[in-house]
Amino acid sequence: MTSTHAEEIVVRFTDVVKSYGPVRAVNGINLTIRRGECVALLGPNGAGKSTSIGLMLGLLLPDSGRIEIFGRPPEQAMRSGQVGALLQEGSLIPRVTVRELVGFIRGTYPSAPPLEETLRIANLDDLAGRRVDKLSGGQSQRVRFAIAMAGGSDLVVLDEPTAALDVESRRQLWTAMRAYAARGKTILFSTHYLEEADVNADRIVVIGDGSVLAEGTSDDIKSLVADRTVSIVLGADDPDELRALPGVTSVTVQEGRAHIATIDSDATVLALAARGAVRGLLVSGAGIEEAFVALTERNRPGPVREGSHR
Amino acid sequence: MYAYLRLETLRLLRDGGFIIMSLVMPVTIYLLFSALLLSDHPTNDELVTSMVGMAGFGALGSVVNSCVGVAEDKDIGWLRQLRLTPLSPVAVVVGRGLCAMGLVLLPLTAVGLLGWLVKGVHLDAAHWAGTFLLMWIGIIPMILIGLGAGYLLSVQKAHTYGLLGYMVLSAIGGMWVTIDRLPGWVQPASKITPTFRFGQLSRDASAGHTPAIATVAILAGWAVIGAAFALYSYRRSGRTG
Repeated sequence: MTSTHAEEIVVRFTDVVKSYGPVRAVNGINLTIRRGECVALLGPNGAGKSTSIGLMLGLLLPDSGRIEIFGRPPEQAMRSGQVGALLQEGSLIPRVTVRELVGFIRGTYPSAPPLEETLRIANLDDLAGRRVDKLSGGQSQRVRFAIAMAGGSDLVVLDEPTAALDVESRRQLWTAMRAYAARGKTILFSTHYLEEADVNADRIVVIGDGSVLAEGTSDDIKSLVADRTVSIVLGADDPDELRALPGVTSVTVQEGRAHIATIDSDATVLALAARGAVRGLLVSGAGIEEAFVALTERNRPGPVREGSHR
Repeated sequence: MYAYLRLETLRLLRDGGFIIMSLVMPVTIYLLFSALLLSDHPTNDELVTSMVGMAGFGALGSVVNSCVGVAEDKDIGWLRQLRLTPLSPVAVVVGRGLCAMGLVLLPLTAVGLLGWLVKGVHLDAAHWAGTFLLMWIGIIPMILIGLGAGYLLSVQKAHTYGLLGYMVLSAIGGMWVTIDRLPGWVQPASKITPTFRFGQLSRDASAGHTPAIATVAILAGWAVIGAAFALYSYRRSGRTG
């Protein structure tokens, strides 16, 4: 466990499946994270990010498949103090101070760094004596982050650490996280902001419908993801032909309009014009949701087109 | 474990309203019932019985409070946070159990002091110590069962079932009226309840008798069941919810 080999595998998911009743929240995820990496799990709400994290932390048991954290079952890795975590839900316990709470958590780990160091990284020095129930949203999120890193764990897992934070709080949190990562720690965080994953992660794993849709550096991912949607009134055009136009990554048909996701909207519009297909043209920046649609469609033989065979 | 006990106790001590309520309830009930039920010139035995009964009743009430407190910890995600630390389930359950034992000292001490100073109960020092020490230890099985219920139930259900369990176990355990006045078919069940045995333990101790082996054995049995239940529920609480 103390090997410093650069290729040491910290997290390994092999064909992991987890269902809630009829819903397969995690549907055969394979994932490998190595020591020192900062990895983003990127996906829309309901993609299976939180379930994957629950499985990783031993809070959930997989229906099938294998999960290893530092080469052993999650519960053992947690018990040995190799993992720190920040979960999405849950509030901090009332009537204790920041120092008491973070200090208590720190004390449960076998080889934790000094408390003052953790408080400094999380930018909590000035708030150490404050009751945790008297903190703002951004401040309490920093306390939660301090809890995750208080034990000096080699792996820190953060489930949507910046959800519901304002820009300034978000910036402070990422500064703290980078300071922690700079010590050679492995960090995994989930987010539904492409931009956040882009700026802060070495590697992005895109999750949708409970499986890994794509993974790579942020450039890899961005090249896969359309950044514009071109929309026209469909008329007599065949959606399958539209799909073959330059730049196009996917086509969805809704209420008589074709929504064409593209990585090169200029080329796509010119090609549409050449076909005489420009009717009620709209061009918009694609949100992350469209990006996921594009990725989902790329990865599945059965496309998400609706009503294209009328 | 001690750090956890310390943190939980700190949280509790800073909840002034809760502490006051934990004292007001048993004190009020003790004063009310001893005024209603005792004759104008009660014997010392009657005074002792009434004090011990009310102290036990107050201790059980405090167990229900701990049960609800644990359910609240689960609701706000604190139990899950604990599960993410290296703390073992045994350490968490034992730490929380010791904290609940600390809480039980409030009604025990309050009723004991009232009995001594206001009601004029006479016991020699060894008797006082023995009685309250045995009550304090004898409450352990109920604490473990209460924690188990708290780890398992939502706050609302912990309130409901905590109170229900408290009433039923107090009633059939002879905390309100002695079990020979209960219907014949209930009595065999009464004798195996932890509440009846807890009451018997305290009555024996205050009367200067050595507790019966059956009493100790049944309480120990409940302690084992309670511990297994609490550990099982705590492990479960992290998985679901």
